[in-house]
Amino acid sequence: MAKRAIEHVFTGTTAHYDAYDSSVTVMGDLIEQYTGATSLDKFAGPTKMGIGRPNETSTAIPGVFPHVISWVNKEGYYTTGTVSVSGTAVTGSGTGWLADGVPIGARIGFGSTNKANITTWYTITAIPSATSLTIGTSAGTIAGGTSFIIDKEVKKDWVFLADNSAAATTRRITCFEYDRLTSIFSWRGFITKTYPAGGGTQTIRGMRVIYDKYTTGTVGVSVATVTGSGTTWSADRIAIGSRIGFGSTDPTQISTWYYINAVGSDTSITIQTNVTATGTGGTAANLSISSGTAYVIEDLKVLTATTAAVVAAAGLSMANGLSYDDFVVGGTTISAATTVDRAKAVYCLVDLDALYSTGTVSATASSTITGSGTAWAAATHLGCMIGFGSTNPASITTWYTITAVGSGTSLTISSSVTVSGSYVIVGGNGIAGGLAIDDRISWTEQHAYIIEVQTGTTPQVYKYNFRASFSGLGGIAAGKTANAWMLTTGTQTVTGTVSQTNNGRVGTLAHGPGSGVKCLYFAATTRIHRAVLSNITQGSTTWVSDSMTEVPTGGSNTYTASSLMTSVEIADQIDRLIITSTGAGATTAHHRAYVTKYDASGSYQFDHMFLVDTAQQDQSTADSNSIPHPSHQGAALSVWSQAGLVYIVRTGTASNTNLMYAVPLGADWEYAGGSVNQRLITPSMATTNASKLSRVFVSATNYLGEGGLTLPTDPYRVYYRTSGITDNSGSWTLVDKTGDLTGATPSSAIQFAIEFRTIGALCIPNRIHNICCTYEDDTTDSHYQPSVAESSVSSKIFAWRFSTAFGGTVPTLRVRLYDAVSGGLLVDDDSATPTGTWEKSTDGGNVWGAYNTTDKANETTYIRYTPATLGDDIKVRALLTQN
Amino acid sequence: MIHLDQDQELFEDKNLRVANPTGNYDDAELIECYHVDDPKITVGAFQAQYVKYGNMIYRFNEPRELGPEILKIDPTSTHTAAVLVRMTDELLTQAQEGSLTEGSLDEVRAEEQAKIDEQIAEEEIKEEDEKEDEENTGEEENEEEVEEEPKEEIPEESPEEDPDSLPAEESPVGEGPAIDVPVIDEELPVEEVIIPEESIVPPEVVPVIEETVTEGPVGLLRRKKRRKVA
Repeated sequence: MAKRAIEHVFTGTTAHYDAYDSSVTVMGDLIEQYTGATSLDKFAGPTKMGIGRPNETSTAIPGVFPHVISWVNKEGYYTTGTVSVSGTAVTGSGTGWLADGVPIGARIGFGSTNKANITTWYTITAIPSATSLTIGTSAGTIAGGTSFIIDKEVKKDWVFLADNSAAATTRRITCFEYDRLTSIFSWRGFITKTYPAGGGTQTIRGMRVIYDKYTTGTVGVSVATVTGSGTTWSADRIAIGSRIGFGSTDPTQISTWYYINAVGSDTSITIQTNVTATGTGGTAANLSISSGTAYVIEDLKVLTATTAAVVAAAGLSMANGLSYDDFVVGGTTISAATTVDRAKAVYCLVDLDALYSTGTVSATASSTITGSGTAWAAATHLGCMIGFGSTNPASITTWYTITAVGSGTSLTISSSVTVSGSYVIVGGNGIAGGLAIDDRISWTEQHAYIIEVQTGTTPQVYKYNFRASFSGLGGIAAGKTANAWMLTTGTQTVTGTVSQTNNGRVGTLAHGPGSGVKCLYFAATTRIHRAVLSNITQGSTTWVSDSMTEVPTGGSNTYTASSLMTSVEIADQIDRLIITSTGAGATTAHHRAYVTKYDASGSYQFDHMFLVDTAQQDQSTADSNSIPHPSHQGAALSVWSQAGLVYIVRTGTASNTNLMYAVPLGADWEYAGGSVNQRLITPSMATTNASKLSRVFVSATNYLGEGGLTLPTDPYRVYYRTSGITDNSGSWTLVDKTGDLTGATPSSAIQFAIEFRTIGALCIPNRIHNICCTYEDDTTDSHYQPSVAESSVSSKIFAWRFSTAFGGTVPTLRVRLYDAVSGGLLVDDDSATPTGTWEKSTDGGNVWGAYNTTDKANETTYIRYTPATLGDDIKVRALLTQN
Repeated sequence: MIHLDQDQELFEDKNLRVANPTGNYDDAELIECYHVDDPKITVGAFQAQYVKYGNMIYRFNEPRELGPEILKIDPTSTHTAAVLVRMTDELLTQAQEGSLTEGSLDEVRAEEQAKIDEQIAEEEIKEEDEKEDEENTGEEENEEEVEEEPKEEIPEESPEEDPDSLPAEESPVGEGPAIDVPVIDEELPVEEVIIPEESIVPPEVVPVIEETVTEGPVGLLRRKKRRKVA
């Protein structure tokens, strides 16, 4: 038996779980195989950590509260049909890449349908039809009938951040594009939200970005007028400013976008070719598209919950009619709305809780209102809405916005009125702790929830339908409307102080008391609270269902509780909560974060603590040998989890504090198996004639950085299987930390699966370069050499020199004697339960004693075997192996 | 303070026009705008500073970063940030030249005040001229409008808010640029916070986000805001 080794280097062809192929490396969608100039650049593992620097963009805008949209997340291959090529024009025959979902940005190679055979790839820049596409660089001339392969792997997220600079009357929303394949953030640009009048400086407490695709019906286009069939654009409240593309319902296949500048009816809109601040007044489109064409409208909105100097003039606002193309380096300023619904503008969505109705008012054809017995004040009423004729908000049919407060008995409103008598003032819920969004129900219904922190321990919830018509109840006055407000719960006393930092997340967990039930989760300093959405009703004081107490991983004898929890996010792929703290604790033990199940027992230890405060600064001017990694550093972290990738942003206003990281937490080994599928699986590795598996060796990058700045990568662990490889049916067995495979049943092949720890102290994933398996084949065991001198034909003794020590107890040996002519097995015996005689000598064969399992003593150690019976005149081949 | 004319084009978008009456506005005051093709409909409201200077206004986090950029395109700007930088630069120049005195801040402030007053005066003269023209031409429409909404006279600020009355020792001139002088501008409601957010939630729960205004000694300047009735 000879020692053999089989090695796999992670440079070959790859496939994804849904296209399992035992001949190639298979990876979960958070696992990538990288290549590069040096051997260190060639590895496989969880996607590299990405780092973004919001405060170092050309317009430095410190950002927090990430909200991420998966713009494109595709993989797989397309090979149907054949093509011809002329320069950058590719013409297909029998192709259907539009229907298959091939995205712009995918790569195409010619001459083969096998990815491994492609040496030159071309990036697809446009897909005009099912049989034509455009590539970025010329591929010369290729004759028709040529095979091809399209690698559809394009994975890009839009990452939006809320302005964290000093509070001002406008707030900027920045946008980065994150390429999951390269782990690179690219700054796209920003918009500026102009808030309707009266709120004073605004501080964002929560931000959500709404992105949806409208593809109902088909269209035809004549010049700048789009005529729909089966469309209901007006009823569905399509906004001016939204971008529209033709030829596909998949926005990743659109190469030329147009912008809606008017919605005439359910079946008629007009479009322009360029982005403008108000969505109108651009260059009219001039194109012709036949009716029956597919199309897609992107509905993009930015909702913020703010606090402001004038409390009741803050709350929920919505920038409507946005497009991705508004986010440009120079910025696009979105106006405050006026009185027009469905505009590209910022609306304030106020509630109808009566704020003030003391005294009476009078005015005659004037926008100046005179009060009697009133005590109006700019600090509390400026920017609020006022209605006349009743002190009950529900009875008001027309609302006006207070644009100035001259004195306790004089104020100015948004338009002239003639009124006298009672009145009521309403405002926004301006003590917001954050903002949570439910899924879209229809194009006219989608709910936003704001946790109003009346006091730290008595929150209440405001619910809005931000897709409702704003033209109904009271209309829109100076950009403010009460039409979106649905209800307000009563206050409910909870344990812990409710956070005002990006607080609140709607989602459905698959475990715990909220299993299968859509709930609102929110953070207080010592508890995570849960409210079933159906319990959030008008006036309810029992809307909080239960709570989860902070119990650190390992219990309070291992880590003290921080009592500083501030934000909760749902880790979508792994069905867990991600909880961050203010990071302001006096001890660095509190500068950590949690990943955990939700459990309301009060004693459940959180599953994981992750992150640790290294105080390393990750600004671009940091030493290039340092390795960026997220940490609290005394500041709050805000988090968004998108398809397993977690975006972590540290609050700050400077380049060395305000950093953004993309970490593949969803690939953690605790969750990598099962349906999450985040393993790195090797191809089948041949172990031909293996009689004994020995060990698996992994070559990995166990540290990154150089000099005194090295940091350890997080660990990995290895599984193996020797059956069910071809059809992916075999079960996996975990290899111990020594890589020992001696307990494995050998077969003709072995396959390894590697899992990674990504929920760690530093969250720096490991990198696997190659993997090697050693085994013994069915020739003489590598620890022994046949000895002619000590063997005896006449006595039928077979001897071996003990050439290589085992390093411990000698395993049970097995001897097989074959008829060398016929190959027939004559004797099969082992050293543990022998039928023949095993002997051992440690002096070169002078003295033979009883066999034992003591390791090799010296170079004159021999063993020999005498079978109990063996016929005469037979040519014998003796094989010594491990049992 | 920003001076805007009614029907003035927006710096960033030539298709948009100012709907508000001609006059002087706070930097962040909202100005309604209409599209040139449809003057009857206001398409949105932008801040006065955006109307005047465009997106550039929002590319900076600090007035001391924004001010120089405004001055590049408008050396006589009365935008708060521009005034701040001009005042600071002047004080620094005096400090470098060795001519800085206890009264320097007052002098520099007075100069800036004079510029604002001059602009307002020019506006008043212009309005008077226009008014006379209107009276001479006898156009009833304009006369009616003027009568309906007479000019809004904003009273002078109270004596205790007059920067001239501040004792000299309160001027931090000797300690460098005067950026810590309290803001006493009545027109900005943010100065009148009644419900401080810090009282709702303990400070450690709320991120450290300063809600400040972008003014320092500039806030001491008197600003007469007048509106012209179109």
